[in-house]
Amino acid sequence: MAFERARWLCLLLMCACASDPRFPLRSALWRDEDRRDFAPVPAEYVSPFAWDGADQMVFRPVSWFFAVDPAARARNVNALDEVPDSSWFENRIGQRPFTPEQIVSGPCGDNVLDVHMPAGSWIIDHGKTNGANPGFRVNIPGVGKFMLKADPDGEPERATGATAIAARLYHAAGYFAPCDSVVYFDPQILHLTPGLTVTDNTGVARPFDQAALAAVLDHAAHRDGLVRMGASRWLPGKPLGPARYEGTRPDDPNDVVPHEDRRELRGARLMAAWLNHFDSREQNSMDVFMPAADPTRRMGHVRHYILDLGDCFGSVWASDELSRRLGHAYYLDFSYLVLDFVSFGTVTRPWERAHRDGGIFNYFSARDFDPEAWRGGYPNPAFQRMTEADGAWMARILAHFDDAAVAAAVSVGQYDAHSTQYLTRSLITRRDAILQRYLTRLSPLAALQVRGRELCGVDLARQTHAAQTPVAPTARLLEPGPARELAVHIKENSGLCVTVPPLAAADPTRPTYGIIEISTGSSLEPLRAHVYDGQAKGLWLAGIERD
Amino acid sequence: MFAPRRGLRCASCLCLGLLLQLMAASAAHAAPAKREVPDYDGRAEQQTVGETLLVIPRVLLSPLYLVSEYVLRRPLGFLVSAAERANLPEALYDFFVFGPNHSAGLLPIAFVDFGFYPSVGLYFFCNDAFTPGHDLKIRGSTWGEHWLAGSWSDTFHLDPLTDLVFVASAVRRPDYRFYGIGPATLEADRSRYGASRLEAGLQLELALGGLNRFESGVGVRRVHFHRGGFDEDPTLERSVARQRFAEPEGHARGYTLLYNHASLTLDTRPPRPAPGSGLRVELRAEQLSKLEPKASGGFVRYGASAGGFLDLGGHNRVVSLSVALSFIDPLLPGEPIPFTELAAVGGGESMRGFAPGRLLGRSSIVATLRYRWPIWVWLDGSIQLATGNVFDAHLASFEPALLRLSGAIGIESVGSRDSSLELLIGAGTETFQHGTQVTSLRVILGSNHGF
Repeated sequence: MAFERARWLCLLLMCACASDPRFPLRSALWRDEDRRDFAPVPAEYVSPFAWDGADQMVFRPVSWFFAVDPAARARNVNALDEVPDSSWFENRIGQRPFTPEQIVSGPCGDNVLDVHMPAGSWIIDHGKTNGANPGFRVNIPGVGKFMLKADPDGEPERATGATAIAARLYHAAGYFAPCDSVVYFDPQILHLTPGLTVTDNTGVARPFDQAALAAVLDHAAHRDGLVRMGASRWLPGKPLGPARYEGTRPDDPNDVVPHEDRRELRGARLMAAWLNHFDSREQNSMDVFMPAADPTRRMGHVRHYILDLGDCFGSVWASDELSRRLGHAYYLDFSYLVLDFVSFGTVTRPWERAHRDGGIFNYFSARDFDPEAWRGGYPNPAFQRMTEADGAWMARILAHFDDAAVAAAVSVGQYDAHSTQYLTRSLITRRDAILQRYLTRLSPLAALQVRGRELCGVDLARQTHAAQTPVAPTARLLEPGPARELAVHIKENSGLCVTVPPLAAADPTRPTYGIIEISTGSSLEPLRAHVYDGQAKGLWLAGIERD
Repeated sequence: MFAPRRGLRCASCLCLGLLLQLMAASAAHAAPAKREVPDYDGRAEQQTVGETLLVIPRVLLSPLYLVSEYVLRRPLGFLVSAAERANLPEALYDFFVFGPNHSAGLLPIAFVDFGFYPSVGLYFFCNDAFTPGHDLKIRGSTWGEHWLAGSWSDTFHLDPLTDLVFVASAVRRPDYRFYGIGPATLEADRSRYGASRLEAGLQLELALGGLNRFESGVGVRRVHFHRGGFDEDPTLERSVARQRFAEPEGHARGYTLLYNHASLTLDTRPPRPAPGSGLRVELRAEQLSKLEPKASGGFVRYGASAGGFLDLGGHNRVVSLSVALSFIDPLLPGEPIPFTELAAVGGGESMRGFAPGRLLGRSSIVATLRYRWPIWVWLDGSIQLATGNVFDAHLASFEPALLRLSGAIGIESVGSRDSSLELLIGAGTETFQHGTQVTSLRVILGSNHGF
């Protein structure tokens, strides 16, 4: 009996170790072909507001616990440990230069709302039916439709600026975000279409007339006689409802990777932490069906947006006790509840140290910001499965948001000088906290490429000063053996290059496979570059391992 | 013998198979075929030994997973989502909380105090009812026809600092406990009796700034007793017959009292969420006149409590030490006092490890060391250790050896006592003289505290 058990265990282990860890000799996959047009149009998904909260706080975590499915490596990661472009994400600031001007134009491009148009140019064709922020929709012939929203009660200017800034940061990072902007306008520019009605959350319909419009405008913040509102460009395509952070969409043939295992959704946890986008639940995303170039085919594909970012930078709830916890704990956080009970409250929590000294940003600050401990309003399935590698990937993107890029993004909030300075400083400090945590464990070596007989990259931990006490970088050739040290050359701007000697060929007709381990001296773990060395192609970077 | 069962099983399998095939067919019809998952990094799936070994806990926990996912999560998700699409939550909210600015509501309540019958009921409130400045609260609870409770409260806000409150209540339940009177009663002597209690009163509540307040009122109380019972506990009558103790005063005929009372609370603590350090002193006095069985005589009940509170660190982790004294004396020497009017220890006020009515006497003294700390926005943890007991008049029989210990730990809601929720586990001991064995265990869950 014992022998039988041992035999089965051996077979199990053999199966487990039988796979080949080598990367093939091919180009890295940089584009996921998940934007192939199809028909019919997927059905609209209505996200259940109450159930989503209950499910994510109670039922899903319990179910996942019993499923014993700990987060493994994200599924859509290419050989270079990066995420290919897809309908969810496009590599932008992380892979190519992105100027402050590009950050400011962001998802809007050149197509922005012109506040200097003649009186009556903005035609109000829709009242805003629900939500905390009153508003209306304007339709401008030749320009498009925009939803105009005022700031919530008691939070002047914060939310309208936050949506604009956060949308640009999400867009620059690579996500699809709406074109949200702050506009100051003279009410004379508006033209109210007669006979409009709005239906509130309780189902009661009421007219959206001049009096209702005046109430909305009075509610909004003002500066120099102009009304301040947030203008959100109507998304292109047909809305399909929120994108889920779990599973796949059954009626989208392109959607084959479970969302909780997509690296860009897992890594979005750090974006949310950076901006304190605690309301990062599925209701604040949107799938749209983008029509094919040829409209007669009635086909298209699904694109996934992140939106409703007005909670970023210090949104507060009616309960002060709850507001000071935002970003530190879930609304109902069983782990803290149990821990604080059994520990008799001996641990002072960060929300107890929180001070409302952020001006219009309330409790938003860099004080006590711990990116690893950050939590949204309630658990997000993808965020909960973020691994160290997913966090390091996002940190490599955030490392490209230098101070000028952050300042450029904050400028679109059109805050006063003090608020602008406070928010910029807070975001820079929070970014640095993320980089110090996530660039110093797995290798921060980025942009690795072959230059002749050299492997060259940039040490982002060194470049961003995330590494406190970096030591000299080293490199070793692990395969083909025996292992030996390789020369590392320090380059300007935190670059480094490793000279790779010709790899001994067992079979001269085939390229030789090699593994080079590079320790930047700024992180705990080294990077392993998998290369081919062949006569025709020379040195070829086939893959990267960081964990 | 097994054929019908096997046939049933086969039919079930067939139905299930057909159902699955239909579902698969309909799904295949509704959705276009999925593309292949791209080979993102070109490497074959790698599985570590650890990942492979996960199959063991997966298999072991699979029944729990199947239940949690397919019996609970998915059906609940379907039902709640459908309810949301039908606007049922809003309808339910509007059903339970309604009126202008949702100033009125009807809420379900439940209370479980293990060792007693539980109760379920409804709590109705209406702020600014009929006229601004008038709040109405009605509460009803039951656990069958033998367990009925109801109360009515009208609060008139005369000015921002003064409330006039009319309260009427009626309780009839069969599971009250009686152990005898005095400091040395034993848990083993537990008996049960039933009682009906009607009460109505008018009270003036005056806020004196901060948590300081003065209250004064008059009212009438009528109490009658009947044969009770709970589980296998002996009835009070049976215990009396067995001479475990004498029949307590008032039990045979019941009584009616006219009472008037006043209390003054001086509390230097600021309201939450400010740090909770400070001192609290409460003085109370109540004069009770007998109306039945004969309108003569009466009693005076009086007492005081004093406590010091220290907020450790200024985040509402509060350690407190308090001492409470309570006395009841007849106005005429030798006048008997109904046992349910005696000084009591246990229940909701002091030494919570003891059930209500566990300790009755002419006087009581309790010292409580308590620590309360926040565990959530609306919940506090609470732990307390108390020592005390009931004694003869004016603590005449007080001896340290007759003191008992009580401990309790639990969770309490923060905020209005009208909507307080608690989960508490407590224990109480016999006297030091009797060895301090833990003989009383108490578990409370729910909310039934009132105005």
